[in-house]
Amino acid sequence: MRTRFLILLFLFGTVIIKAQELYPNTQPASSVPKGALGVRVYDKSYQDITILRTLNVLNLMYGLTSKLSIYGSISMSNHHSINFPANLAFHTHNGSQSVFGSGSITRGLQYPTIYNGVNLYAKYRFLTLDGDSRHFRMAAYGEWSNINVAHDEAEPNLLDDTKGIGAGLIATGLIKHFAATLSSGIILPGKYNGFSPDIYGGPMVPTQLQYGRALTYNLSLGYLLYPAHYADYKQLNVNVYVEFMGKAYEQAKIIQYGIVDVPIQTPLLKAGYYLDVTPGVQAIINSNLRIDFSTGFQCINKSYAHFYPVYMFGIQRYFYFKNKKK
Amino acid sequence: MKLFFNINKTLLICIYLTTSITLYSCHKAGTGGKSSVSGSVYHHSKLIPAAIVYIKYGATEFPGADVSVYDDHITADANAHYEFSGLRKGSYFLYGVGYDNAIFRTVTGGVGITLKNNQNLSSDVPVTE
Repeated sequence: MRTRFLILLFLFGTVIIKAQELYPNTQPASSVPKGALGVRVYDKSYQDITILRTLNVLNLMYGLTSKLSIYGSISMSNHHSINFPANLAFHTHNGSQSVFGSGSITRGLQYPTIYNGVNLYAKYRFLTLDGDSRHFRMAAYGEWSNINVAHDEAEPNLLDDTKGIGAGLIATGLIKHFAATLSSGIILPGKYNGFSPDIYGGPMVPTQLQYGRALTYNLSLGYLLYPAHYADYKQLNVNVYVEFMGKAYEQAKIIQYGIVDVPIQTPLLKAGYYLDVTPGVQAIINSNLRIDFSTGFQCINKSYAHFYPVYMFGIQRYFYFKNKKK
Repeated sequence: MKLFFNINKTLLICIYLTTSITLYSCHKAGTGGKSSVSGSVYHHSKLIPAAIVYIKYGATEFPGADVSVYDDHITADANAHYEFSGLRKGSYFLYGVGYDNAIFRTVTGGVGITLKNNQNLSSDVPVTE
């Protein structure tokens, strides 16, 4: 029994020992176990006036090597349509002059749930300092996304709102039951070429939105609440988390009719920054099946890309394809 | 050393696949194909007859108001209808210039399009003051 426990501890060790750094919403510097395939599904939802906005994500992860992990996500949501809403950008006539403007986007619009696109993410752990019940690790990540929805805020989000690329660094420290991770990165979003309704009844107006470049900053704290000491690999594992997640982003740019640079007059499209605080709880069953729940609140300023609170519920499981050592 | 080799091998395969896909999908936009784009020139809901529609091959963004940089042009008919045919798959930018006699002003505007093989795309060209 003891031998079996040690073998399983070796196989699932990454999960057991570092469970308190498996943050519900952010990545630690640690890797997916080599040769393991992780499958995660999660949902984020919030109330937008009278509409319940939901994001559904299927996330596959694989430990390519002991240091290199790759992730692929596809998502669906009812956040946006394929065309921009009326009044994102508009113009009025003053005599023979046209006065262009932006803003007054109606919130709480009903959109169907649509496929957003794909997000690919790779993380390479380049520093590992392991000790007895403690470690410090650093990793670099890069991501690419091909998302095709008419996101109508300046803030980019590579998972489900905007296409583009991103990169950054992650540092994780763990001492006994406590883990802390600091991460920061940049997002270089692409443009979305869509159409807006013409309020004067003409054909849809070609509208291009260039989202703002962004700097991301996150601080995640995790604490292993239960068990105090491992006795069995089947022991229920309970972790509590507080994640601070924020972004600072540039002003968006709107081009209409292919030629008109529309003045930005709404905070939804102006430069901004914010920090959300997201407490969460996690249960890990049989050292593998992971269940997360978290709720996000505004802390400093606010994100215009979502409303508050943001509820997240996720389930994850690893599948190991390596032969178990006898 | 073995790990380093494996990473290099993986990277080489990724680079090879990316290059192959890029080269395969890199068809130059222009004439010589069987695709077409047609539509009407509108200022809001008003048709703009005799507007000139310019086309720039391989462009997704506005190339500029200097019409000499465009590859071709056509004058819309009395119903403000235009058509470019014999195009290959690829990206194009359409730029319309017309005159709205209701407001006595020149109206311009453009739209980027992407054509597939053998596609007859319908795309209006909205213009503004």
